[in-house]
Amino acid sequence: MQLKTSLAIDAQQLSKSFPNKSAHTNSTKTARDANQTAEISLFKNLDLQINKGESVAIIGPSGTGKSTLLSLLAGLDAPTAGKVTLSGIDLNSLGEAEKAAWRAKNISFVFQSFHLLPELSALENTQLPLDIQAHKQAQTLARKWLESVGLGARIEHFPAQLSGGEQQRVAIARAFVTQPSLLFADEPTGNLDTKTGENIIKLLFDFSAKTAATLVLITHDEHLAKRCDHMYKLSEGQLTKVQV
Amino acid sequence: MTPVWHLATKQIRSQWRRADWLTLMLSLFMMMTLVTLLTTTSDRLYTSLTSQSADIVGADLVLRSQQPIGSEKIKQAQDAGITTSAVTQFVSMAEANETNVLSTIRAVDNPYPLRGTIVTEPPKLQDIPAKGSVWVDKSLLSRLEIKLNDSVFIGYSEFSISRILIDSPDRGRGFANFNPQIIMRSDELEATGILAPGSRARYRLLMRGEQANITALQQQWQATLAQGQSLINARDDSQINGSSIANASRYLKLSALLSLLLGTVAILLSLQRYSNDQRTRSALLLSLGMTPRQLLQVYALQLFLGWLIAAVLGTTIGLGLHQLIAMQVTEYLPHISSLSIASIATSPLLALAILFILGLPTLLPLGQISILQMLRKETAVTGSRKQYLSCAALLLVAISLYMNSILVALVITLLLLSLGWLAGFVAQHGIRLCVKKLQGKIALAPLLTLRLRQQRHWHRLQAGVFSLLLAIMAVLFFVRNDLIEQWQGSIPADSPNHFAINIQPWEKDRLNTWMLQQQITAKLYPIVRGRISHINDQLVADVLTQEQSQTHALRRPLNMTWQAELSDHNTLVKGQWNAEIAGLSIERELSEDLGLSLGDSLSMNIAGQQLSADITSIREVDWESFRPNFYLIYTPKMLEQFPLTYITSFNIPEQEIAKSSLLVKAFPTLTLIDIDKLFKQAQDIIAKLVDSASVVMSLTILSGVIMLLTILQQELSQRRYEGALLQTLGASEKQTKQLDLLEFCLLGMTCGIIAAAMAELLLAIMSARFFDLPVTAHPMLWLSLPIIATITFIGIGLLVRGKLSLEDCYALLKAS
Repeated sequence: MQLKTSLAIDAQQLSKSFPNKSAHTNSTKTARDANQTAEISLFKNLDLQINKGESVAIIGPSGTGKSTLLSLLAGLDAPTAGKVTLSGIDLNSLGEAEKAAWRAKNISFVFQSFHLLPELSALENTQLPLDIQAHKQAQTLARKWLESVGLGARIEHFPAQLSGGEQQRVAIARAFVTQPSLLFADEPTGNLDTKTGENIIKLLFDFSAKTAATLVLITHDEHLAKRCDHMYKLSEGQLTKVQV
Repeated sequence: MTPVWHLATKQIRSQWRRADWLTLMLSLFMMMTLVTLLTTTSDRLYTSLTSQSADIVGADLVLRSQQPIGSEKIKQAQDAGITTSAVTQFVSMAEANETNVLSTIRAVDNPYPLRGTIVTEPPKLQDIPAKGSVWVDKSLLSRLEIKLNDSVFIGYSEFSISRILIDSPDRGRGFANFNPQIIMRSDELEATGILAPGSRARYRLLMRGEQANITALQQQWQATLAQGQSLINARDDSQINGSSIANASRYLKLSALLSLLLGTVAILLSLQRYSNDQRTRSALLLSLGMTPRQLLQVYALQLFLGWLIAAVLGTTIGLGLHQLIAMQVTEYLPHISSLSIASIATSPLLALAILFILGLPTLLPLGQISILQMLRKETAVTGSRKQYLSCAALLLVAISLYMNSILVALVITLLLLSLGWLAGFVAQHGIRLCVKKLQGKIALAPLLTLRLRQQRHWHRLQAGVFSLLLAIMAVLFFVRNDLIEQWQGSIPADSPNHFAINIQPWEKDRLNTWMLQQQITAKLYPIVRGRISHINDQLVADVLTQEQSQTHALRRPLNMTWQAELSDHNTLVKGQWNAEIAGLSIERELSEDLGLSLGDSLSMNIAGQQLSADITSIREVDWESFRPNFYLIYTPKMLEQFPLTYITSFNIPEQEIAKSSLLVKAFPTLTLIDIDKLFKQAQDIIAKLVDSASVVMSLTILSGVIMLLTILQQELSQRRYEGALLQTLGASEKQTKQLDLLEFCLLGMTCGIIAAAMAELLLAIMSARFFDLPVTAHPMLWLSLPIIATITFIGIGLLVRGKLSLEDCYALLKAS
């Protein structure tokens, strides 16, 4: 059902606003807050087009809504107005199960704080996305990717037994194990020292290039952002392209 | 107000919205309710049944005897300046309105009692009933459907009921307590014709006097007590040896132990979670200049205040429930002692101790938290190994103090823990096996496998606790409803349903004729009662091993009879029965217990006289034939010179039940025991006891459910986090929900099956050992328990789980 398009991400006229005072996780705020007027608009009428196989960085100060933009682009959240199509598909037009299945096959994430499940070994953590799809070769593929990130000897280790850099490598293996067409990395080096961060970024770019995945990187770090094909800055509700 | 107090009260007010604080309070409350209920009930039952204080035994010193007490003893006592009063107590029929009720009758002399007072309604004017009248328990009036000043027949005599007994000392012991009581004058006893040599009765000599005289007399008599005699000093607690019911009351404390353990685990888990969530707050307070000492004071004070609230509520409700149960029991236990402050205070104090002991490894580390931890979340605060070990040791001390025995506390705790552990272990592996079987069949199977690995410790705990509780509950239910009925149903319909005892020799022929006229088949057996005194001419105590001398038959008089031909419900297993050759036939189990074989000589002490005979045969007796059975059967003529009565059993069909009143009317001195009634009474008592136990069990189940809630809450944030991650990695919301449901479902099913297996095993053991019934399966168990358990788990799970939409997932991950 994939349409022939060269765009990996096509976001048009994207707006996101929240009811006042509940601009964070908790959707269960009381009615008391609702009558305190209107909504807070995070951004309005954003446009963003990313070609397949490109790497794009989104930079910007804290609190400007980078992560919210990411969840909109990744189909985790629905925009207040506007439309996002991924490889020509509008995820919000799909049913819940179809959407989940599409995301599972095509999208991966690398997080700032790794998000490995502590009770699972490196191998089990890596095969998790494939297990969600009930993939037959989950273990074999996970093993292969752990070897690729240089953790072949530590596949039975648990997160607590791994260093921060190693944990992020497991997270990278987990991200690539599904061979995604889109990879979102949200401050992937934020919890790592410079040198380790450097290695992680290298892995991320290498693998993206090798698998022709589109990489969307969110970061504070302009130096890191400059390694991407394109760079955008999100500030005061506006997304502006920055010359790399 | 000090800042510590101020902060603690503020904190406690804001904590009520926190789930972990609420479960902590709920567990504390449940624990105190249950332990209050069990402790007060157990203590009160125990003191009611065993208390030998002067007010209860009615004297300073009591000589109990199974033979009439000789006048020389009375004279000895009186010579020593001691006041005496003789009491004869026996069980017989009270008859009025064509109905008869088995009653416990006391024939007493002036003055009576020597200590304590009899309370009657209307208030009595004299110490003992006036001539021609008796005082009776209220329950007798209702059972005979008569009222005050009506007449009642005891034996051949008619009495007017002049007072209702409200309370009286000297009620005697044991199950005779359950019959309605009657007090009559001893000078009117003979005329009733009930007692004759060989009749069953208990004799007591009550004594009152200076303590020194009493002690001297007690010492003098103690050495020369005859068989079947005992001395009870009201001041001496050490000689209390509880009856079996009294012992049973102690078992209530064992079930209290179960709730203590449950509560302890729930409190520990809540505290752990609570303290974990208090890290940031503690670090903040420390950074603002509070000393660790003050910080701990705040938490200690807060815990104390929380305890206080839970204690007031828990103790009140526990006491209320206790009153409910006490009301049920008073019908059978007319003399119930009052509640002591100590037994009311036990539960809250124990809970306080447990709370602070558990606070040791959980809250103490909060004082050592570094301010840096305010910024970093990853390091969890846990107590050191040493703290946990001392916590366990202190807990054991507290529980031992409560149980009054380290050994019992240790053994029962270990038993429950290992049973729970076993159930948890089996459950965990059962679930794993199920998931293995599901592998490849459902899409969620691989995720489920990972989930199980992740939750294995919790699963073990949840399954262990829940299976154990369910199994106990199921056993109680089936015992109450099925087992007794099943047992009764297993008795052939034409089995004798009446026993007549205390038939005097001079009434034997008339009774035989009467039975013939009424077309009732009944064979009369002579009964002589005696105790085993010598084996092969040596004293019993000298020839038997420690274990053999514990045989119950040595401690009470045995019923003996003589026969020319052995009855058909007796089967010879060894030797020959020859009525011509003097000898005796002994029941097989007794012979084995005492190590006796053919040719051994057995001497009996019968009312002070010796009778020796050689064992010529050993018999198997069918105890459930509902016919008179005897341990010892002699050849004819050997027992004739001893005082004897007769016993018989017969069947009166339900439609001819009026014949039983005719019988009592015609033979007022015999005691008629209606087995059907006895069954109903036993069933009633058991039903009431089980109902009381069910109240306890339901509460225990409730604390189990609270513990499940606590556990689920413990890992709720973990579960939500995991759900968010799975959804971000491509799982649908439905999938994560299905995963949870599947997990709870498997957990519930496994728990239910394990509980059913445990209950089935327990029921089988009970059927076989206590009721002698064929072991049958209970398909209902296997159906209902898994369903109940599954519904419980899914219900609690869904309640706690909440909804997690995709939009929230990323934000949740970012936040953690």
